[in-house]
Amino acid sequence: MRSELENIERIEKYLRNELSTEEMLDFDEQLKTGSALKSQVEVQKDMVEGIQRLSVKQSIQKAYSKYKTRKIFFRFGLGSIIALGLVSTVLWAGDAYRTEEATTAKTDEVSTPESGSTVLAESDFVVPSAFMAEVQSYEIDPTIKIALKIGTEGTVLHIPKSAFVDQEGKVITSPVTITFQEFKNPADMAFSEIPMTYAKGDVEYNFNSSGMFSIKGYSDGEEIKVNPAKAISIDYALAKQNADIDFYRLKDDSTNWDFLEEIDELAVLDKEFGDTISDRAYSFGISSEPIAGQVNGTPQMFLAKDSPEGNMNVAPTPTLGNPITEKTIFQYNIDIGVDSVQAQKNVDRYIESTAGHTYPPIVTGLRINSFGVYNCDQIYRLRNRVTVQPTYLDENGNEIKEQRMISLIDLNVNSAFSFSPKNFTCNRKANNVILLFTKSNELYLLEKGNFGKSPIANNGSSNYQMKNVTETMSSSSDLKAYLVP
Amino acid sequence: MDDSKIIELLKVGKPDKAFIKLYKNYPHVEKLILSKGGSREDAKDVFQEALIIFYEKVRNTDFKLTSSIGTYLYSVSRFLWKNAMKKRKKSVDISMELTSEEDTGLQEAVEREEKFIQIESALSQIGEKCLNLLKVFYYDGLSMKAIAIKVGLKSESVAKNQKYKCLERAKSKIEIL
Repeated sequence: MRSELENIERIEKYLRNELSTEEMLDFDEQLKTGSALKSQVEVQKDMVEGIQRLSVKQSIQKAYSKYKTRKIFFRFGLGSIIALGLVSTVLWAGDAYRTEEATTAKTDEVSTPESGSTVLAESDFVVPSAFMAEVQSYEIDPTIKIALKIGTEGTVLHIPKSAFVDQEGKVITSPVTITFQEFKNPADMAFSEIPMTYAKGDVEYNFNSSGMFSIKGYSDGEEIKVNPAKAISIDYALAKQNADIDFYRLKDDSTNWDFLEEIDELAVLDKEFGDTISDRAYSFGISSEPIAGQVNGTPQMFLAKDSPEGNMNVAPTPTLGNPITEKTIFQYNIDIGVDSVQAQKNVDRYIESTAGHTYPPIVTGLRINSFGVYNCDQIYRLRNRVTVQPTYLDENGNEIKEQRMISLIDLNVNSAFSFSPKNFTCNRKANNVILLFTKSNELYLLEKGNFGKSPIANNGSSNYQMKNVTETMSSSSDLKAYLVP
Repeated sequence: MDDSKIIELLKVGKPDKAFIKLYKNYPHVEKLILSKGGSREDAKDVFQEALIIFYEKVRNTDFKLTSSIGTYLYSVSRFLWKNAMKKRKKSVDISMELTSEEDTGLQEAVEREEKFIQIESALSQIGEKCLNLLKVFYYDGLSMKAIAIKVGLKSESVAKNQKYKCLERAKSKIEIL
């Protein structure tokens, strides 16, 4: 007598065509004679199909929620919105709320490399703080809803009230300090010790970042958590506009990243879609409010109105009937449900085209369910992969002593990879630059163009002629000036 | 994004993105349902069912689109709504422009939906972890090894075993239907 589990396994193999010929014949024979087996096979088949249908429905449900959040909302700018009386509950906590003392206090705390975050575990070396990305710190009142403006490029954190809890899950009411650290370019990432690879199934991908940030919260000197019942979201000003960007969060143990969501690309509307602007029927649904946009680079208002087909017509009023001669960009504000203020902030641009896509400078409404490190990334497979056993030589041809960590930067990619100096993996044909820190904080550089000139032997060994740049490159900004001039 | 790209996305198993694009056709359908005695909730349900029918058609058959996807979804929604009204014993004035072949296909799809509604509700009782595991295997098509890593199980064989246990649980839920 087979156990139920064995039965299920056997039927599964039958359905997936994984039985041996002999087993298959045997199974078929039993099917002919036993109706019980037959009905069990049916049930199992239905089950699998049911799972697939359920998954499709979840996917559709997700699309529906997304559709609902895309209610078009006219963007007058903040002033007008206030005039309309829509933002009475929101506090703009901009630079005025930024506390310099807190910045200093938290810098030390945050810049200490987290244990287990990389291959590097030795404790006698800390990356000099001048090479750490700046930590911005903001003090907020968690009992009210806040739109926290970060930096000057349009990044905004939307924090509902009671958004934070302590380690026991109790809602925090005392002042909260939010720290935000951004890694926008290879210089910011070089010594961040944040892994820039992503394992998906059996395949490892590298990140090409469109912007990465770390966000943390503290209250009364203790680390706090995001309230699971509340979600904070971020409108994030991208550092770079790559194609196919997804949003990731670094796992707490830093072993890999969790894929969170795809970032919506902009659709591109161009002349392939119609001869004249007024011909264009848009079906984003819902609203009859006008839409801010631009045609051939000139800002314009658009009227959205119901067309006889039930779709939305979006037509730029001043140039109605004009031929579309160049790429036309429609810029929308998108409403997030009932929150009109978020709508104001949720600038989204839609362009539709077969000619490819691009991203808005600010991606809106990315969900932050917990503190940690987040990354907007394009993933790619490393080509011409080679693992190098390097020997680093100083200007006199002597091997550099007390090597501590290296950072490898492919100048064509917005990323940086930290490795132990013993070996590293890279694209052998890329335009690589290598930075090497020693335990005594000496910084060495393999200059641009020299990687390709250093042959890599079949066993992976290679000699790199490094230059001591400790004096000339003493901070991230020096590094940035060199890497991304 | 044009229709062929949407179909491609569905075929290669990237439905999330496709469905988002397909929702552009929703206002049209909503307007229809509202004008024919339905509520917004009805419109939402009808359109979702139409999307499932479209999805299964693309995935399981050698589907050739004779009209635009928008027109197709509209026709299917119209059929579904007429059908739903019939069930509620209300007649509705919707003219049908489907070929008898399309009509039969849709009738079958509606029957399938009815059959699966119970199975799906049984499946949703097996616990989130189990459902997720089965989903990544049967829907996302991940290998057992990848699943083990993804859901944090020790090894491929542990994941496999877990999968059978989840199937067993699902089966017991379905059998008591």
